[in-house]
Amino acid sequence: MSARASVHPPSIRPPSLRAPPVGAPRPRGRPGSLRFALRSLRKQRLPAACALLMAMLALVAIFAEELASSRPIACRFHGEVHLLANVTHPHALAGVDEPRFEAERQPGDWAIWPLVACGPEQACRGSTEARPPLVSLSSPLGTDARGRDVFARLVYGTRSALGVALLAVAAFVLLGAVLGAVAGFFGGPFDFFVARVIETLSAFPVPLLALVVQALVPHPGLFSLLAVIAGLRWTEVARLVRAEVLAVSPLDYVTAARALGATPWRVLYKHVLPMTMTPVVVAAVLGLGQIVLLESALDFLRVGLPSSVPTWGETLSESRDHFGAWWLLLLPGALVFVAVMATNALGEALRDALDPRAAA
Amino acid sequence: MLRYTIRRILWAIPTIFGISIVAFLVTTLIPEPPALSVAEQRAALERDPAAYDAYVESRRLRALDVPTFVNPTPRDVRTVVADCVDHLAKDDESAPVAAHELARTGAAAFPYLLPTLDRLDPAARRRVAMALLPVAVRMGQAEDPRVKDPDTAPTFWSQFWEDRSLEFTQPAVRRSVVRLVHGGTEGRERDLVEVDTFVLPELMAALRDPKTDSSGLARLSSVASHVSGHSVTVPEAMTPEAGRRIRGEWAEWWTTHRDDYVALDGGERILATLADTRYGRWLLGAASGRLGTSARDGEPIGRKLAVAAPITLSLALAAMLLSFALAVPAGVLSARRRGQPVDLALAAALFVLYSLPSYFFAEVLAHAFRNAELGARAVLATLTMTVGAVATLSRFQRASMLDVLGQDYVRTARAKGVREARVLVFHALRNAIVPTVTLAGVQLPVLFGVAIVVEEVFELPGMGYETMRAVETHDAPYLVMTVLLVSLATTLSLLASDVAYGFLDPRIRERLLSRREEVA
Repeated sequence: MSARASVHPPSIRPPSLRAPPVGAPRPRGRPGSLRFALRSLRKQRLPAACALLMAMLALVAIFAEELASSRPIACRFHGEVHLLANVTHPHALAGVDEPRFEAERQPGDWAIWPLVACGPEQACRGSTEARPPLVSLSSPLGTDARGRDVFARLVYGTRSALGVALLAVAAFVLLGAVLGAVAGFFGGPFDFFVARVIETLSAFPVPLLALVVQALVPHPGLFSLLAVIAGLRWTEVARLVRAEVLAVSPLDYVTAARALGATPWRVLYKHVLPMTMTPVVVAAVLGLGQIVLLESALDFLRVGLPSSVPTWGETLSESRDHFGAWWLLLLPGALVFVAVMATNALGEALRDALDPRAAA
Repeated sequence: MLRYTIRRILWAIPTIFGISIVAFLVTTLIPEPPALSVAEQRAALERDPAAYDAYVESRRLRALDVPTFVNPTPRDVRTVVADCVDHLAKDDESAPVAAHELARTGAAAFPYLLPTLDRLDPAARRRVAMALLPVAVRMGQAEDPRVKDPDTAPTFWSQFWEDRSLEFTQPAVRRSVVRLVHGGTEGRERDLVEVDTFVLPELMAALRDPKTDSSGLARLSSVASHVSGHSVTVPEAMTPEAGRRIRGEWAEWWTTHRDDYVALDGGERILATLADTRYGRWLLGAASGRLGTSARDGEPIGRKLAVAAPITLSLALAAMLLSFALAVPAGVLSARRRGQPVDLALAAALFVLYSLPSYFFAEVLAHAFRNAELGARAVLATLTMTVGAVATLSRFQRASMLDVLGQDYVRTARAKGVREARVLVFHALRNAIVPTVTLAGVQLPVLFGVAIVVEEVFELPGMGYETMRAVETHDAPYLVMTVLLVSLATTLSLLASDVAYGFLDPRIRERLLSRREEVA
């Protein structure tokens, strides 16, 4: 660090150099304010309902195998007991779905099946046509054009949607927070460079670039999708963090920390960065919904995740070839809509709770 | 105001530069066939020289023969000669390839090659001289028996240079070219063929010259084809259009091949370290309007975009106007009735619209109105694009209206007894609509994103629809150009909205001029 080696310790650097311009918002972050906001949100009905909804979707994603799988949760087959066969897929049960199990059943065999005894990938019970919901008990939400169970595909689609969204948000929040904080805190040429990069990347519509990259990379899939989203969306977080860091850095307690001899990195990590986290939390929650939307749109255009992965968007796109199959259109559409709306409502409620001025 | 505008425009320059770099990086995502090793090159050359030339040409057209960003040793005729002579002198593995390359470079290499011939040892001299045999054939010198004999060929070429070096000067060649333009005789054509590729720079200058008439063009083109081996078809009856095409084809060929025949010096060489790279060539090509051709059907990308862009732009414009027409009254109404049932109902409805996936909405409409006519589909598409925009705009309008309604001058107006409608429209909205209008610039790229889905669902042949077709066929040139153009349009619309905002609101101007390091 050049600052440490110089004659003047960093604490003597006049704070006015970094003083926010007149009229800039005062720093909002106060210790514990996020907890305060969450506590106030718990009393409101709508955000609580949205949080509950998201939690339910998360549970569906986590326990997808218990809701829909072509293997039993636990069974005794040909005298052998298998536990959690739906997760482990033991070799002894290869190709054994419910009809075959019943056919090859021996005395003393038993099985506990998931809610729907169909996996998302294969056609269920040999049917190869689209069936509407509630016609048969075995596939309550019907089947798609290739005979695959819609319930199973939506359940596993939840896992894809939330998984991609969480990974992407984690990636871009981390990237944006680090770059934005370092740029804002240390300033100088790096700050200028980051500012220009932010401006440049903001000019690219994310859906278009994601589409193009997915079309051109040799192996399109989860990784390339995450790379594009994180590579473009970090700018938003970096902007927020940078603005907060610029607002917090000249405050007295930061100067005091410097005067006590804390290294610049320690000041940044311990004293400045925690103050910038509240807008980042809001951006992350809102980002979840936006990425669910983006990812499902790309899957709808069949350029998102590989076609073998069950997704909401893929099921929705099946409805394009089958005009009568309303369930292929409305069920996944409703799921995307609900997930996006819940995160939007949650994010905005959080923002209002954190920033009283925005609640006008 | 002028200072503000200029500074804002200056700020956009690094951004535009950055955009070009990102768009270029997208082109590097495409997997390219790896380069042949020296042994493979040699094998390919022995098998079929024409196929080898096609391989070299295809790599050059895709700029795979140069580094990505910085080229410390830009290639020109001098480096090519030095390289080839080096390989031939050592008689190493790539000597046959070097001999082939020397033959292709032709007489343009003579000023750098023949005077140095004496410095080589006899065996190397013989090899270099024999490598020049195809050049002699091309120049019509092959009748001389000495040129075919390895023992006498070096003396032939030394003597050739002693006798003829005066012909290998720019003024002499230029005179011959001018004579050929004015009237073709066999002798004049032979004069040029005898200096082989050395004539190319002057020939290209004459081809570019607008004063050259069509019969001159045909003669020049035939000589150029003979010496360079690049064929451009010349029709029997020359039309102005054919003339333009011939000029264009040669200009394009010359931009990629000039360095083979011309020596770079001083500034040109320094420039070439940056320009003669994958990025440099790509950028120069795009900047000079050569958008390339679609990999799908070979049609020029410019022509495709000229058909598709108006459709998308008119959809976006219609959606924008419609969403303003809906959003501004909605925003004003909910700001006026803040907290009342109207406001809450509007907020809830807009929130639902805001979270509604546009592709889902489009698909539902497409199911509801199946077999719709083209016009009806365009209306449905506009409607879908409006839905997302109206929610964003009206929430923004409500916030800005609330801001203004709290100001003292509005209270003053009310206190004076101005009627409420007048206060709302003439006092408050006049100021409150400014931020919303400037939001139009930001909405444009968002609308383009929606247009991809909407045009795909409603099968409207705009830019989004074309993009999806290009995605299906992995048409990289088209996709990269779309990315480049859309992001440039985004930057320019941001620029325009910033300038407009600054024009309407002096506070914004001051902020930009006073703080340097703050990014918006």
